[in-house]
Order: sequence, then C-alpha cells, then structure tokens
Amino acid sequence: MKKAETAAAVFLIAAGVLCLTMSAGWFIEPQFTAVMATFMQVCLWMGLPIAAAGTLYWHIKQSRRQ
Amino acid sequence: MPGREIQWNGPEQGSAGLRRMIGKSIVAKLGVSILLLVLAVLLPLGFVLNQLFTNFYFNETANELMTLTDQYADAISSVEDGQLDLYERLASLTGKELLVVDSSRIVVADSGIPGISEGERMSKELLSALAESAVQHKETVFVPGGAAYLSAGKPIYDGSGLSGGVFVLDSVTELNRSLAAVKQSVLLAGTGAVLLAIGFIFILTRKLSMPLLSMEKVTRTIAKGNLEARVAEGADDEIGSLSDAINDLAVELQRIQVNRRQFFADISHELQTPVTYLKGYAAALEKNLYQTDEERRQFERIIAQEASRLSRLISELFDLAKMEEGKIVLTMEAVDLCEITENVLEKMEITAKDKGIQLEFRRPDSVPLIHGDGMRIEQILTNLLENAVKYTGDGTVKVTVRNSGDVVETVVEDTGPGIPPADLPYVFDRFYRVEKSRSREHGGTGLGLAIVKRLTELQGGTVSVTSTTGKGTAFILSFSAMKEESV
Repeated sequence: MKKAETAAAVFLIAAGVLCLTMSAGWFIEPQFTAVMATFMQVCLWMGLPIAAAGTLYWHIKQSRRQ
Repeated sequence: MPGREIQWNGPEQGSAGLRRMIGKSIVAKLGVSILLLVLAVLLPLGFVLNQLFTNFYFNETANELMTLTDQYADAISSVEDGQLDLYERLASLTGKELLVVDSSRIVVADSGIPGISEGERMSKELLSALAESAVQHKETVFVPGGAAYLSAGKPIYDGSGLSGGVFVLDSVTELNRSLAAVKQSVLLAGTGAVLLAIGFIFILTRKLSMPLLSMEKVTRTIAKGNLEARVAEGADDEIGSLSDAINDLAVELQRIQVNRRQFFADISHELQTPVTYLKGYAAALEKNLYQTDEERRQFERIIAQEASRLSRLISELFDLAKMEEGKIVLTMEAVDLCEITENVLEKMEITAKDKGIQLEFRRPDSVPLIHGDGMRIEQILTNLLENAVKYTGDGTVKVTVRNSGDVVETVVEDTGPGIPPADLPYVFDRFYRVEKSRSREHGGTGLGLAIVKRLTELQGGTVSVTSTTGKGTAFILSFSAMKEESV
C-alpha cells in the first residue's frame, strides 16, 4: 500500500472512531476525561475482533511453519 | 471578450467515471460490494434501533399516564367534588395536564389545556381518542399549530354509578425532542461505523487484491517476452495456487521458446547441409570440374540424392507442422494391426534382404481390432521398421503383435548397436540423432521418430522405447483394443 492510501485509511478509521465516541457521549457532559474514557472504550471494542483475527492469523501462520 | 467555451456534462460524466472505475478495479469492486453489505446490515439495524427507542419512550409515557389516571380516578370520588381545583393544581405541579368531564361529557375541570374550557361539551369520539391516545401512540392536537398530547383516561364512579371521566395528558414536545436527540446520536454512530468500515475495507481489499495485482504485473511482463519473471510464492490457498500456475506457465513458455529456437537452429542446419552439397556439385558440373564420365555421373547421383533428401525433409517437416497445429485429418476406423504389419514387412523385405537382415513376424491367433487411421499406422510402422533395418548391420529385425488385456501392442525389435541410456529420453525429439557423425551415412532426416510419436498420440496410442547398448533396441506401440471385434 502506498503512504497516501495508508494515510487515507487511517484518517477514515480515526474519523469513524471519533464519530462513535461523540455519539456514545451525546447525552453526557462534554468533559475531556469522559470523552477520553468513551474513546478508549470504543477503541477497546473495535480492537477485540482485530486482536482475535490477528491471533488467529498468527496461529495459522505458526502451524503452517511447523 | 471571446472566451473558451467550457462544457460541463455534469453528474452524468461523474457517474460514468465512477462506473468505469468500479468496473475496472478489483479493489473498487470488492470495496463497494463489502460496503454495500455493511450498509445492508447497518440501515435495518438503525431503523430497528430508532423504533426501539421510540417505542420505549412512548411506552414509558403511556405507563406513567395510566398510573396517574388510575390514581386520579381512585382519588376523585365525584365530579361534583369541590376539591377539583386542588387536583388541577396538583396536575400542574407534576407537569401533566388534567381534564375531568361529567357523565354528559361537559368539562368540569381542566388544568389549562389550550383549546379546552370549562363548561364545554366534548364529543364522544374525542373522549374516546383521548382515552386510547397513549396506548395507541396517537397524539392529539387541540389547537392548530399547538402542542400535541398523549393521554390516558378512566371513568369515575360514585355510589350511584358512572359520574364522569378523568383524563391525564402529557405534551410530547419534550418526548419528541429526546427522540430527535437519540436519532441524531444513532445517525452519528452509523456514520462513524460506515467511516470505520470504509477504512478497514480499504485496507482489507488492498491486501486481498495485492497478490492479484502483482500476478497481473508479472503476467504482463511475461507477455512482453521476459520469461524469467516469476510471481512471489503465495499463501497455501487458491491465490497461491494461481501464482504457482502462472509460474508453471512461464516455465512451460520458456521451454517452448528454447525448443523453438533449437528447432530453427536445427532446421537451418539440416536444410543448409543438402543445399551446400547441391550448390557445390552443381558448380563442379557447371565448371566441368570432373576428370571422367564416371566422376560426372557420381556428381549427378549425389545431386539427385541430396535433392531427394531435401524434398523428404521438407515434406516431413510439413507433416510434423500440420500434426502440431492439429490440422492433420485422420480417418479413424476399425483397423487390423496384423494386416498392416504384414503389408509393411512385405515392402521392407527387399531392403532387408539386400542388407542381409532377417525379418521375423510373430502374432497370436486372434488380435482385437484397434481404432485408428490405417494409412497413418502404416506410416508409423514403416518409419520404425526403416529405422530398425537402417541401424542393424546384419542380424534380425523382429516384429511382434501381442494382445495384453485391453491393449494391442506391436513391438519392433532389432539387433543393432542399441541406444545409450543417456540418449533414450530424447530419441523422439526432432532432429535428435544418437550418432550425429554418421547421420548422413544413414540418410535419415531426424524427424522419423518425432512423426511416429505425434501420429501415435493423435490416434490415442503410446510409443515407448527400450534399448541395451550392443544388443539392440525395441520400440513398443500400444493402442487400446476395440470391444468385441477381433480377427
């Protein structure tokens, strides 16, 4: 992937996470700590399937090497 | 001021460009497909969430209104109750509106609902609608452009029976504001999810399509003539298998290219030799460079031999080219291999006798017919027998027809010098000669066995060779026997 393509993809993902964070914190006071806590939780939920897929991929690669 | 006329075709041009981009790019096709799938999941999910929140808020309000209505209906003992003013004030404290009517549907108390005044007679339909409004999620508007209300109603009973009804109303303005906020929040979450999906889909499609794009690049390089180009080893899946197939194709093309170059080199050499002879002896005759008549006749003989050899070479090359292009026409029919072998042996008898070679033929009593072209099988056997006689100094050439199961085999064996094991895999190649230095002595074109192999394979048969140096060589022709037909 080219650098511009990677940057575009990262930008889209970051925008998506921010939208989700804003949406999740819609009804609460817009305090920095609260927004950051929500942001971290959104990242955590997003990271779970990615971590699962990464672990599965690593496992398959390891078993293929053996 | 004369200016350049700018034409803008508007959205049509843009959409055509987008269609072209999606049509031509696997990344775009894959990305758009996955994005549509994501939207197909997200849009109904958004609708369901919206319905869920709306119904939840409406139900909560309806429950609250019904509870309050029950409490008011229990508390108000009679519509003539002097304490109705108190209930009106109580209602305004709870943020809800109160409406009490008597048994004649005349308003006896209200907490200040716009469009309703005390002493007014309410219609039966309106009261019925007010009673069911909260349960059925139907809002009531009393004044055009005024607030909409959800309401619940209950009858009031005194000692003598029905004395009227009480209705509790709640403005849905606040409810609708909350629902709009929820909708905006869901919409923002949906937008975030779509952006997130686009980001991940982009990375995923690029990663998935990268091997395909790499293969396309390598294939184009191969198509341009760089047959050394290879696709990097892929994963153990269909894409990896495709890259292996492309690499195999490149190897095969390389082999074909090497063969073609070799073929052109061989053919140039093979044609050059007789042409040189022809040129040399023709010049000798032209310049009277001979001593005796006998020498002149010898020169003429050599010219005739070389011309005949050249003609045969061209004819065989033409045959081989036709076979390789699949342009040769075969007349496939039931063929008796023994009969053909006997005919060929008969033709070869004089040549063999001249060389002092004994021809032997062995056959079983009954041999099944085979499916083939009689003329071409005769050509195959003639080539094999000519070779056998040519390379056998003195000895025996034995032809055996045998039937082993579903296969009819013809074995042509000689007692010649044999073929060294290193040369055996190449004997069916064009212009391959075991004894390169003595090839002119035997007078072959170097195409006989190549023609034998191609013709045999075209008729569904196989040909193989076994040889022992110093003892002899055996060529085995195998054809499938036809069912239930034998001679």
